[in-house]
Amino acid sequence: MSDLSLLTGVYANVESYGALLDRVIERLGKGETDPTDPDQKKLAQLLVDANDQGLESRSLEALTLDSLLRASTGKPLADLKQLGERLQNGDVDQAYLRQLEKLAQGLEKERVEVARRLRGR
Amino acid sequence: MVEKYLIGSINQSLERTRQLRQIVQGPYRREYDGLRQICLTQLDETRTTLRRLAEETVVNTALQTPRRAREFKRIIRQLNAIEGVGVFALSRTSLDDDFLNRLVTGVCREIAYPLLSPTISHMSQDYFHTYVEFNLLCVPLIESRFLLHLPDIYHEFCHLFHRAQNADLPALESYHTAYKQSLFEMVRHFHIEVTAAERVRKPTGSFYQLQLWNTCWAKFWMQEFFCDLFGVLIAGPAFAWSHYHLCVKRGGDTFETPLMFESTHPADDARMHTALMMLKATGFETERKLIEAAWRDFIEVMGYRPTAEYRQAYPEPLLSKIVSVAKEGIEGTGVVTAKPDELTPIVSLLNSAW
Repeated sequence: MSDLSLLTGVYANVESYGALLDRVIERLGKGETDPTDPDQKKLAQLLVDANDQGLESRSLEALTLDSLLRASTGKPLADLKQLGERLQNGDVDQAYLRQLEKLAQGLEKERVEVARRLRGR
Repeated sequence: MVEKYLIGSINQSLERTRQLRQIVQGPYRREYDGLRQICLTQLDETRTTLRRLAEETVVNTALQTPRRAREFKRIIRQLNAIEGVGVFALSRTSLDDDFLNRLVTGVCREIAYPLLSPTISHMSQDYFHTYVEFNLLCVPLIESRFLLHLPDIYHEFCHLFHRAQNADLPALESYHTAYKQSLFEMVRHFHIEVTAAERVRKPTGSFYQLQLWNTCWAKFWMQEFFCDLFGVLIAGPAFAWSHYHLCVKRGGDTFETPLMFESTHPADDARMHTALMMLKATGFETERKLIEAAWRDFIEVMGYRPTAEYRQAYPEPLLSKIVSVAKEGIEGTGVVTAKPDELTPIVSLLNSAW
């Protein structure tokens, strides 16, 4: 009934997607882009599916990721699909790597915000 | 510099982990075995990650350190949660906790709850809530001495269905199918609304609000509605009364609708509305009328009024669809639901109290 029951679930999702992004960013940063790598493949598909909130693919994970990446006003992020397709093709230059870093920072911001609300009780 | 700090701080956290593991090994009653096991498993995971971070060879600080710092923050949050939630609950068990844990085990057996009985603790400083990752329910200090709020325990039981590890359990398949169906019904609804708003060139603020409500539904509200509907299906009218009780005592404007920033809980009126729909669907017509009259009286007395935004954020066809889909999904799990002429003993007691 209180916020905690909902926030702890959101926190777990933020952590899970944040860790996935970190693994992909680190590999790409070493110049190891591999569209068949399970993490890269998973993240790529999630980003493509998140473009329409997972509606067409019926992906609950994509819907969840989309909701976490949005601003607290509900405003969605642009170009997730393009980023996902680049990952699928293994065609990720520095500009796209920076976009992934921004997503990771966004999730980290969300993690801090949820943690603050969890602590605030 | 950051790396130097990280190494020292990681080692101190490893020592904290070691001491917490010792506390969990203390003498506790059998009712707490589940919680102890969860704490130990999580402490082992924490220790493994901390050791890996401590032993990692750092070659490129520009690349590795930001990731290592993020990972360290995540693991510290987990360690704080183990200490502040799981181990804390264990360290302050009381006779009241023992009693309530036996009661919860009885409740779970009575309703054929499809998961392991959660542990329960009187450690809440606010209201009922659940730490899903610890399978732990929390209630206020002397809540077990009173009956009128206790139906909310059934709502909390349902939050545990949303634990990631429970997502693929066969017993919960119908529930998760219903939940997913409802979520995408909601997404479709708001996509249509956005398209319609674009067509008639509504002001930008309208788009933002639709996007905001869409996000609130996806992130928080749908789960909250499903947990409410689970509560009504299992506990019957007592659950709706309990919602009334909570709203009168602690709630604000029952039609409150977020306009700029997300809110975790849906409007109390929408929640009561779906609870009443579920009571009707399960045959509690007499009780439904009584509760509805009490609710309307409360709204009238307080002078609350629904806004146009409220009606847009909680559209009637969507609420109605969610109730029917949730009913089918929850019944499919095999839990024992409340029927007007057939209440299980504890559910009967809670309804008698009201």
